Amino acid sequence: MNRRNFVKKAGTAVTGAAALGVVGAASANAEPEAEVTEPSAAVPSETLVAYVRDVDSGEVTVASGTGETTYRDKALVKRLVKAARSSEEVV
Amino acid sequence: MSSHREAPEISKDPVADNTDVYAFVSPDRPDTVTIITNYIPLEGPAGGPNFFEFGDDVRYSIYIDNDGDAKPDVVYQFSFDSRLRNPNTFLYNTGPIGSLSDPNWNRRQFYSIKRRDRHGTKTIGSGLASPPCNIGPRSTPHYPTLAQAAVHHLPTGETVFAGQRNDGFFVDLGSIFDLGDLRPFQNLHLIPTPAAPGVDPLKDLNVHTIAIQVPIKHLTRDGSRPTNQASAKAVLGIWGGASRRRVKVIDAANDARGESGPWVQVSRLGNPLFNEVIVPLGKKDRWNGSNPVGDWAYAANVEHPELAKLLPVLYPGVFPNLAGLSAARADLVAILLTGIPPGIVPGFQNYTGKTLADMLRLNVAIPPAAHPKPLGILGGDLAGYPNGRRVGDDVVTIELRAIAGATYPLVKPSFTPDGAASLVTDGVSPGPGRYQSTFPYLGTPHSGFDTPSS
Repeated sequence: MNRRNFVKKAGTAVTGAAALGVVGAASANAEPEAEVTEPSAAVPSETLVAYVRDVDSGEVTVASGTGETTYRDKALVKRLVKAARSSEEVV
Repeated sequence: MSSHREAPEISKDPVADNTDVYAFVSPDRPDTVTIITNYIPLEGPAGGPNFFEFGDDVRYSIYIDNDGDAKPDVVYQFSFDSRLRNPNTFLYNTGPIGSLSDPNWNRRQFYSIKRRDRHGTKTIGSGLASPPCNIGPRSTPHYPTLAQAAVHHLPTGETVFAGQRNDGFFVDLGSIFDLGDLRPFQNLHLIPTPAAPGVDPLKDLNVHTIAIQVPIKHLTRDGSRPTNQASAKAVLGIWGGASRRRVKVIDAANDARGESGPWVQVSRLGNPLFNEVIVPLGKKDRWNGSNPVGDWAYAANVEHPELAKLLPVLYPGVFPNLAGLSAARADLVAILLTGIPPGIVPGFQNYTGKTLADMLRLNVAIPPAAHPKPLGILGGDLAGYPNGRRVGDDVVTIELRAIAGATYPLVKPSFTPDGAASLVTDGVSPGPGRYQSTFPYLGTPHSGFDTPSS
């Protein structure tokens, strides 16, 4: 299964909202910039989670359902890092 | 229980399970308030070799509202850090632990404290040692001395302790959860058996305590130490909470754990038994994740508590007046959600305004009682629950009697409580040695070697 199909099959819920947005790195430039928004739906029972293992090598793992796949995708990681806006911790 | 395992989700997460909150003017230092939040319910003292400890991945918070809006004006946040000296042994300790720096102590825990107030957030303590658990005479031979060494006096004026203690909460769990049985009155139960004394299963168990003693002036809205009990600024609203990061990733192949995202509250506690008895099962987890300012959503459960309807059914003929009481319980709303307004109890108020919120409400202008009465205000002792909560207050009996109608005449004098309302109790008391007279007030934890004794 290629990445596009994997993400499509994995469902619509995305943690790290940029993950779906960079499917097909070649088309990334044509896509609109990520937009900060408030959550509009509850967390689904099967959450798709993308977590970056190594920024420099572009290694990212996408977990969904009971499986996960690790990719080397610098464009995806770059966009995820950009999306990971730091916010001030509230005590 | 007060809040031990009170909700489905938190019952599976003991290190984040806030079991009790206490807040009182310190009897031996009346210019200070002591706030205690307990975690990890039902610790069996022999529970090794990985003895109990706080969660390094949990953020423990104590909240103080000093202006009546049910939002925190002062926050103390505790974060823990476990350290392993020798990873090549299975032992918690490799010899007697004679001090907090003893090399025989293998698995230690330290913590830091942040304070947030209107001036900002400041770290007020770091690298503070917790004591070991009380293992037994060979491992922790001088436990009280070890524990006392873990009482830290901070430069900012606070005194803190975080570690294992004897659980000070007393209740007959076995009977209450058996269809509301109260052993002293079980001959009157719908399914009767001969009356018997109460049994307290917590008397042999430990908890993990976070205790902080704070100068009153550090908590009030204007930095004063109030002396007029009628003043609104004398009342503090206090609660505790525990939070976890939103995401946790387990990498077993590399023996690594990762966390990410904001802190999400998973446990909350103000008044004892609020979530346990008042909030219905389907809403308990949500309540734990919410804040006091939203407790208006639970007002109906306070006005018409399920237990008040059950008592006349479980004890036929014993509570006829309670059975006929259908009006909203304004007395319980005052005790649990707004504080008691002036003019209800002579010489006392702990009213924080119309905002409905579950908080312990402590009037710091009421001095400590020379001879505390376990029934608190119900027993004529204005320094006890529901004016804050002291370690020895019999909150189970107080709340049982209140729900049974004993306090309803405070808001409707024409109501006559049933005779049983002023007698009902689970029939247990803390017994000797449960508490100590100085900070952190909860007694020495039971040792694993000695408990149970046979």
